[in-house]
Amino acid sequence: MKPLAGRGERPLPPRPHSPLIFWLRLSTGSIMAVLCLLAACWADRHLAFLRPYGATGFSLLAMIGCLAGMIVLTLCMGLGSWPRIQHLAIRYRSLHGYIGITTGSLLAMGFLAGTVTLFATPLQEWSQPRLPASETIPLTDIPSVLNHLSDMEHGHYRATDHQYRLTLTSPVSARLSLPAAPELPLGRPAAQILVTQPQAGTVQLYQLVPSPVPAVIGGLHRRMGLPLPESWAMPLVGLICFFYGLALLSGIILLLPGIWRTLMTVRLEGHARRFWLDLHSLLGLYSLPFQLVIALTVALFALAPLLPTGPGLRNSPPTTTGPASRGAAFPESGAGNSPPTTTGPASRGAAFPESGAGNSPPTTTGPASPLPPAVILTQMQAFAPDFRPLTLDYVPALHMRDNLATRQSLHAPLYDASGFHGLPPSGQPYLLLEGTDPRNPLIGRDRGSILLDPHTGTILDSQNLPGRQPLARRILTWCLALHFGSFGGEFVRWLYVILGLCGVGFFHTANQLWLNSHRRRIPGQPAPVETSATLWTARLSEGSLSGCLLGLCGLMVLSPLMSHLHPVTSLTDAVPHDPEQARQEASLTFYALVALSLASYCLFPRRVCRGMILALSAACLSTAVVIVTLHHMMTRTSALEELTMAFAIASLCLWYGAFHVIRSRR
Amino acid sequence: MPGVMAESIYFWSGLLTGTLWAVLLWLQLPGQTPCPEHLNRRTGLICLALSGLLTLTLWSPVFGVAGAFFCLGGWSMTLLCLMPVIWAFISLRRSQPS
Repeated sequence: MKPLAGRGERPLPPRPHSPLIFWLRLSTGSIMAVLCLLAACWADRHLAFLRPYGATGFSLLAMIGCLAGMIVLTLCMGLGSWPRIQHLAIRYRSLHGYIGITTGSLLAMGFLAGTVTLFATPLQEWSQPRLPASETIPLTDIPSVLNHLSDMEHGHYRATDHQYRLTLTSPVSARLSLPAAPELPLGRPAAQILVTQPQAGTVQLYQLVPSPVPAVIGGLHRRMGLPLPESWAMPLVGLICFFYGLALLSGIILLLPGIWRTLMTVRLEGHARRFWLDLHSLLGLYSLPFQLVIALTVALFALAPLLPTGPGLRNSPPTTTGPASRGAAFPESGAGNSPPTTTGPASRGAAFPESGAGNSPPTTTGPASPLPPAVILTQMQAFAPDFRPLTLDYVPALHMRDNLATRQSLHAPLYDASGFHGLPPSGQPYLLLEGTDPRNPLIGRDRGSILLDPHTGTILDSQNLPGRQPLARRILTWCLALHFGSFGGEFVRWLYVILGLCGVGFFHTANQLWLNSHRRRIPGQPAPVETSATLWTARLSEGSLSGCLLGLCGLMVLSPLMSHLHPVTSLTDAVPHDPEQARQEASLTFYALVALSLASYCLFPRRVCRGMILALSAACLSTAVVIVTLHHMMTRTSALEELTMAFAIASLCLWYGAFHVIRSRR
Repeated sequence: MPGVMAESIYFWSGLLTGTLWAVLLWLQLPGQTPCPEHLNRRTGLICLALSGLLTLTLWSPVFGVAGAFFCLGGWSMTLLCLMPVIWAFISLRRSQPS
């Protein structure tokens, strides 16, 4: 390239890459990006000083590898003989555009589903029918209620052999439930037996079937709406996020020099292309830190389970002796901590066998009774004063093992910050105490946790306890908390709702911008003409996003209808429930609604489809609010009232949008 | 209960100063902003720094130091994404003859 045409003349405008050079640079950059990730794996395997950090170190290295990969890929596309920023921008233009149009719709669906996933836990409660008034049991009565339950079941049930869960409703009372099947965080929820105490000395049982909808929406978010199994979708999601990071970096280089003077300007009048460009650059630039964090962490979630990991993720035990657990109020793990001598059927953490199979009474030579919850909570308060416990899960010695197959079967995320050592080995009973902390980041979507020995109260694993973590774990926790919005409580959750919707707008404006740029301009005609490429791309991109909106609103109607509560006389009388079937029904409903939207966009004019889909979505959301308000009125808490209010406002906005689209002429 | 009250006061005061910080930052950036004539750049930057520090100080007891930093970042990102769009609508309304 000739840099200057002559003395006093302006430099010649550079030309974009030829296709051959473009693909050569893209291939070289991709290979170097893969090498960055492999270098992270190599460092995790071979550098001795990284080994003590285990899964934490591997996750941080993988994230650094992803960031390095994105930067290397960007530089490979942009660097050349004339590295002026204007020239770089021209080199990036086509790459940025094509990445945007190919991945924009999937990312928009991921962001929309992710916004709903922020409310997964309240949505589960919101969908539940009215619970009996006697559901709350004082913590001091829990041991006696478990004894009554054992008497009622004639020895078929023993608290030391089966998992039970206490969901704290106040500092001195809790809801007692027995999960009917194994569960993993963010995975498919299992039915539960709710134990209530109508009067002192009596026990009444209810079977509670939870709604599969929050977990289904979580899965859609992780797979970006792709109708594929998680293990198949993850490589694709990782690749998309890699290119999403590249598009963000190239976008900054591409846009900043040109738009600096009009940085805060949104031109509502004039050419449509200018309006979409203003909006796209505004949303992209001001939510850039948020977008970069999302791109980087999703690349970690998607690629980490695929990488050839060393001791980091697979072989190291959980950190039990970090600075967080030293000098603790609880004694350290180890002393007097021999595994119990349970020889019963492999209950895998279930309260009772699923579908009535294998109902023989367990033959356990009884270990000591677990510590009462009130004692555990008092000790926990002294150990971590800012930690606010929400649930206590007492899990027996024979519990399920956390591995890839279990995660796939329960549709749980394949990535976990603790690797496959989130649970103690089989033979070790444990008490999982989950809770929140307003002053510290949480490693989970909405909670942190600590693992204790239920009989002695010794700490088994405190690496996920907020505010008591070693530095490396704390850095990783911040990275994940910035993805989940799991810090700062309700305030940050609502901020993330707005930023998530801004993200959806960002990808939608990107698609509109690309379409406006590629419509053919004919001299003498005021408006550009659609080509077949722009026509079908517009239909598919808008149809998929509208379909995702309709599908999510449809799932909201389905959610309260799929959750049931009915009384049962004993644990073995529980009605068999197939959670996998319920999950499949919810998924099928979502994809049917997406298909309906895509078909209508392909058959009818876009304006008609827009109005119709918005009206249908508004109708679905309004129906969901009415169903929950009429049937579940007594379950209201302030958080659920907030959710009802939010859905009501969202449905009003959708109704307004539908009427606005129908009334408008364009 | 007094602790909850104090936290609430810190949070809402921080929200107010955080909003001020985001608005001042918006006014300093180029483009179509309602930059008042009497607010010169130097005064604007001093007010920006003071409001930022005040927000971090007020939010630190509520969210922790790092949490306050990220909350301020998130709040200003949200406002900077929304304010120009709202301002564009207001400007359009004002420019159109009634």
